[in-house]
Amino acid sequence: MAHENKYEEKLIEALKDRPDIEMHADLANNVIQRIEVKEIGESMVRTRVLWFANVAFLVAAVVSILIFIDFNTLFKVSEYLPWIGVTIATIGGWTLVEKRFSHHNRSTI
Amino acid sequence: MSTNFDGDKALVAAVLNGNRLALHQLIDQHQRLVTTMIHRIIDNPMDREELCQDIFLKVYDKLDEFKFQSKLSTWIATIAYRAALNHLNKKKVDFSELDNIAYQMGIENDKAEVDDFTAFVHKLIDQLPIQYRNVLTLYYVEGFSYPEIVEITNMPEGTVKNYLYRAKEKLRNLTEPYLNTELEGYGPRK
Repeated sequence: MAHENKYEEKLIEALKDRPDIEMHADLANNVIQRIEVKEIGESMVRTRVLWFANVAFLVAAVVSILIFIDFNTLFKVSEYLPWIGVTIATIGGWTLVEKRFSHHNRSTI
Repeated sequence: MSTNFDGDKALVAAVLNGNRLALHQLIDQHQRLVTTMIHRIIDNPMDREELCQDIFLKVYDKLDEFKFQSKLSTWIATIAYRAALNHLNKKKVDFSELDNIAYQMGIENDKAEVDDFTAFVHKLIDQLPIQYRNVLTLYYVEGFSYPEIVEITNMPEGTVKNYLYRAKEKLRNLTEPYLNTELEGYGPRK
């Protein structure tokens, strides 16, 4: 029994001893570097998406206004309401896209 | 580097606010845990380093999902364990059964190795099947409790205990003859 206990003790002591493993040098710096590269890439994509969204919505808004003016000369005021709706939806959509791509940025120190 | 974020909550909050020093501290604090786990599972040293980096990238990406329902180290160990298993699955590594493992170590021929009992035991652990190695490492080296190991490995508690018992028995059978000489005075085991 004493032998058993002594053996158990010795084995567990060896098991608990941390194996001699070499730590990767600069792991934290390498990870942070990769995160920064990734965030720069994401930021560039975000900027491009925002730019295209801006242009697209601007074009849509101009087209809507032109259609609105044209219809204004052809139809009565009650007919203009759908185009006012389109304009509001365009501006609203643009705002939503900008919000979607502007949040969740943890890159600032 | 002088960083001082006391407690998991302060550290996580600082990382989420974009504090790079906090992120550095988080990685430094858990590097040994992740490296030890990966070392036990992955054989290729190049793969190990890349996987360690991938794990901390994943930790950073998912940190806003961590709700403090467990310790931060348990959560990170869970990510590390799953990433390592996914890596092995991609490499199509065979998860051999304990009893089918052939222990080819030249125990008798390498007296110096047996003299350093701890190194000898760890070398034997490296030859155990992955799930046994892991459970042993998590329980003895990292000091995780049974419920924490269940959370990390997603195995039932009974299986964890069984793996631990069987792995220890296997180690006992392999090392006992060599330990008898060290434990002189207690006499040889019958």
